[in-house]
Amino acid sequence: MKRPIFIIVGTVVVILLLAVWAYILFFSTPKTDNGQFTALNIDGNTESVIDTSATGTEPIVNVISDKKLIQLTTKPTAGYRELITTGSSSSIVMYIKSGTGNIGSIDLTTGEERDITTTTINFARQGEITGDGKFVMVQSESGNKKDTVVGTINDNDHTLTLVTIDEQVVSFKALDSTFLYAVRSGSSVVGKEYNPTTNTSKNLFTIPFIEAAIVWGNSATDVHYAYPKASSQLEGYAYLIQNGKVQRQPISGYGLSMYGNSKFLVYSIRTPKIYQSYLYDMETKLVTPTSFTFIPEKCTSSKTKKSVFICGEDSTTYSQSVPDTWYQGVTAFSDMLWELDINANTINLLSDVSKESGRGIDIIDTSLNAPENHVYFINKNDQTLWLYKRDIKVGN
Amino acid sequence: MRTLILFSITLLSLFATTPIFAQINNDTLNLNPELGITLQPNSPQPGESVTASLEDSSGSVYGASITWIIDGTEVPNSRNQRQINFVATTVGKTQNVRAVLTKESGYEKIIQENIHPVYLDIIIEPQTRTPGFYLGRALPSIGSTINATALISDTGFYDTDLMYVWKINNKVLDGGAIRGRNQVSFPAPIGRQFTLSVQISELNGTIITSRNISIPSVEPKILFYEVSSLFGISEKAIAESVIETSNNTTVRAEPYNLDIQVYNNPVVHEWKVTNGNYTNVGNNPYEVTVQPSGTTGNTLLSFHVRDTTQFLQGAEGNTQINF
Repeated sequence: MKRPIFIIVGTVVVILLLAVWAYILFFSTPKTDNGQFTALNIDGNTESVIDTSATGTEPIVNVISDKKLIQLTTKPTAGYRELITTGSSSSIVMYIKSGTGNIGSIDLTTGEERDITTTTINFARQGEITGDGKFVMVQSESGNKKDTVVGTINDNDHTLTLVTIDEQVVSFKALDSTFLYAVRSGSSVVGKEYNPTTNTSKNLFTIPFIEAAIVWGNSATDVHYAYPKASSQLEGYAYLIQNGKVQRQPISGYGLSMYGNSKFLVYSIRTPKIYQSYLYDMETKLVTPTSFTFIPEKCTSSKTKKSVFICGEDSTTYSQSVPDTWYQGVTAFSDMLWELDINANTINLLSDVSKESGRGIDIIDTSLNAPENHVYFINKNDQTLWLYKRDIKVGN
Repeated sequence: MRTLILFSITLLSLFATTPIFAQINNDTLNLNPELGITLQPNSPQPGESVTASLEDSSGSVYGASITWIIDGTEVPNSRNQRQINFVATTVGKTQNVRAVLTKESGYEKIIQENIHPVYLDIIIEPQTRTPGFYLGRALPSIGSTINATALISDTGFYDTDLMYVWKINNKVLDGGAIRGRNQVSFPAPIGRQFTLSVQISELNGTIITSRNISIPSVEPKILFYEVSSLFGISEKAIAESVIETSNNTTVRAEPYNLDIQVYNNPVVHEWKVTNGNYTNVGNNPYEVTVQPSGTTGNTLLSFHVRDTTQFLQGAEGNTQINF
């Protein structure tokens, strides 16, 4: 190739390359890509869908296992109750499924699971079942709105007959055949008892402030407690409620929350240095600080021996922002299950449930069945229902 | 006549200079405010630790021995102490605190105070935002409305038909004492905390009790939660600002402690992904649904809510999403 031709071809190639480079530089549109970030479609509309996959897909729970700790549900549970089945010595656990409000049951002898009702209560979040197994009270939450319904279980067609409570329900608990519940009324909270059989309610007491947390007793006439909802930065005060009268107790403090019965209280407050738990004897009025720390909302107490409390407790050091961060779902605990007897001054580890299950269990909604050989609780982390088989000591 | 006048003046002078030692009761004490017992706190609650101090600005007890008696029993190790500590009696009872002053001449003077401890609870109910599942109480933020309720009780609540004087940072609310006003609403003042005080009196002006408390004022803060179309909002905050998902995910921003009025009508509310604004928000300005485009990666999701008339009423937060 002659030298001039070679130079001409080379110049043309260089010009072409420069033209391509200039085109890419000035005219090219980049691809729709946010670099390392994934493109997102954003939509504020949340549609309600019914979880049709829930029916029949629950794993069989192995209740006949000799393990003491058993996971009863794998999906979020809004409420539960152990019942003695009619004409049988076996007992079942009825439970309300979160999201749908469907009610299921597990036979604790055979492990058989049944759908009791298939009526949907959208966004069901919290529920209670009466001791006779005939009624439920379910609260659902959608957006910023809470609705509360009472359902009558129709065994024949697996449905619920629902009655809406047209009041702002702030707290509720099921008894054998009625419900205790509290509603906002002006600048107060009114405690009531509702009879679903007659669809009537009667007033029990009035708490003269709105932001009330209530510890319900075991009957309408039993002792109840109320306190302003806990905040680590605001002072709280304990009030005893009985026979319609609200009486201040010598318990107060920042971050106060409590649990108790007519004889004893367990409560925790934020002291200047630590989050501290105490025991309070209603009879002697004596306060005893405890060497272990627990959040009272993780406790239940025995009905037959009122000095016995069963609580979830994490051996970690509690920060001074507890319980706020726990309520927010920022802090979670890996609990152990403890039994303490205030009269006997004893505390026993029932189970290191987090270690035994191999997962963090943040215990809430603890309760005992009637014979008190079963401790139930919900794992706050995933709202699943758990059972611990408790040995009942002689004399207990 | 002149003699009579001189005699009268002399007699009056003698009365004026004669020591006042005698058996006197509390009523007599009231005529002599220079001598008395002061309590700290001045309105003790049942079971509260109390310090009683003998106040004698006139110096009239100089040289007298002091004996402290509570409910008829001498307080151990209190002889000749000007100050004693004790625990206020239980609810529903009255406690008599007495200081017996004895001069060398044998004259005795008794000064006393009767304490009827009552509880005065001030319940703070901030009108700020917390989500429905939050079991605790909201906190005030600057400019947000606070409702305060004063509850006075011993064995039961007192009738609220009393006189109430409320103060914020020592500034009287509503111009002075108001009958039956056991509840007040006011905006949280500027500052990290402030003092709220209330004094409660009988209708005749007799002070029953008083108290002041310190109330925090916090900055609103945003936490993010996943929202399930089946179960609703999760009660677990998105951990460590990271959420991992391979599906459409609805996220709700919860501005804790934001004034509820601002929450309901936010002037500024904006979602951002990386640095771009997203205006395509549905009916609920606090929720967005994010959808992966099929490629893996991560993105920063942030939310900002604010009131323009009260610029401190607002919060910004962000969380990272991995796909």
